[in-house]
Amino acid sequence: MKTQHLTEEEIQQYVLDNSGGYNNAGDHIRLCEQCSEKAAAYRLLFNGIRQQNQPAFDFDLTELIMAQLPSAAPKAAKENLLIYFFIITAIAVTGLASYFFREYVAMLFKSIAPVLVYLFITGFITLSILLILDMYKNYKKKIHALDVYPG
Amino acid sequence: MKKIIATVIVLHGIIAANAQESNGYSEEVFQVSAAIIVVLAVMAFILAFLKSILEHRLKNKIVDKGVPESVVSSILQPSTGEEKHRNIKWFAILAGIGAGLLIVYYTRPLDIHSLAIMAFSISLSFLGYYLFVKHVDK
Repeated sequence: MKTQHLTEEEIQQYVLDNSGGYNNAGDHIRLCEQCSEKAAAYRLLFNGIRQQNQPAFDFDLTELIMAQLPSAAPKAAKENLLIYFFIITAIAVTGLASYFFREYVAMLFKSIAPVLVYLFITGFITLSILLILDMYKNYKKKIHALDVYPG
Repeated sequence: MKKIIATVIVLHGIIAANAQESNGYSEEVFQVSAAIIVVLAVMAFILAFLKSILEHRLKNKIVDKGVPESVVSSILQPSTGEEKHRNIKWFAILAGIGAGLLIVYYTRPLDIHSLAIMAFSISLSFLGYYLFVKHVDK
């Protein structure tokens, strides 16, 4: 058991821990009148603090902030409309070009030996698959880096 | 992808210039180059489309996680090592295509085995690239 008086910090820690166990501080407080009085005062103080009402605004904070935020929905809708417009235009232009030049494109491939066309296509498909796999691998690497980041 | 398109256009110009006959371009060389450009444009479109989808998903994830700007730039910007690897990758691919075409030339007439040779040579070049990256990263 501690023979000297406890420090303020030790008494506060004892009260906060609410330790009824037989540790050094507890043993001392049980036998020392001065420290016991201090502990009782701290207990009273802490109880008083706990019973205080939580501070709160006298107005609705959420409503006030939401009213001041710029509305994002119309802008997003406008952007989406523009994106769809570009997509549809691109498809239409490609479709029209394919329709008007279909004979030329067909002739381009017909005039070359079929096996040569297959050779190109095989090469490009193999290359595409491998490039896509490489791209996906890099993507997974970045996603993993984000996953392990403590956010 | 822009690099590939630019390379093919330059190559096309060179081939066309070399293939010039007294009365203009050789028809066959022009058609073969045009066919390559068409197939390449389709491939470039598909790759660019997939890349934009993956980048969009990555950016969404970054926004959701609320990652700081410095970390975002370090994740999105390719490092010097990656840049070096990119050069090696294109070296491997072009070397693979070159080797494949050379073998195809010496094993004529063109048939189904030519397609297999091309596929294998490109795949082997990629395998070589991955083994190189693995060795360097150790």
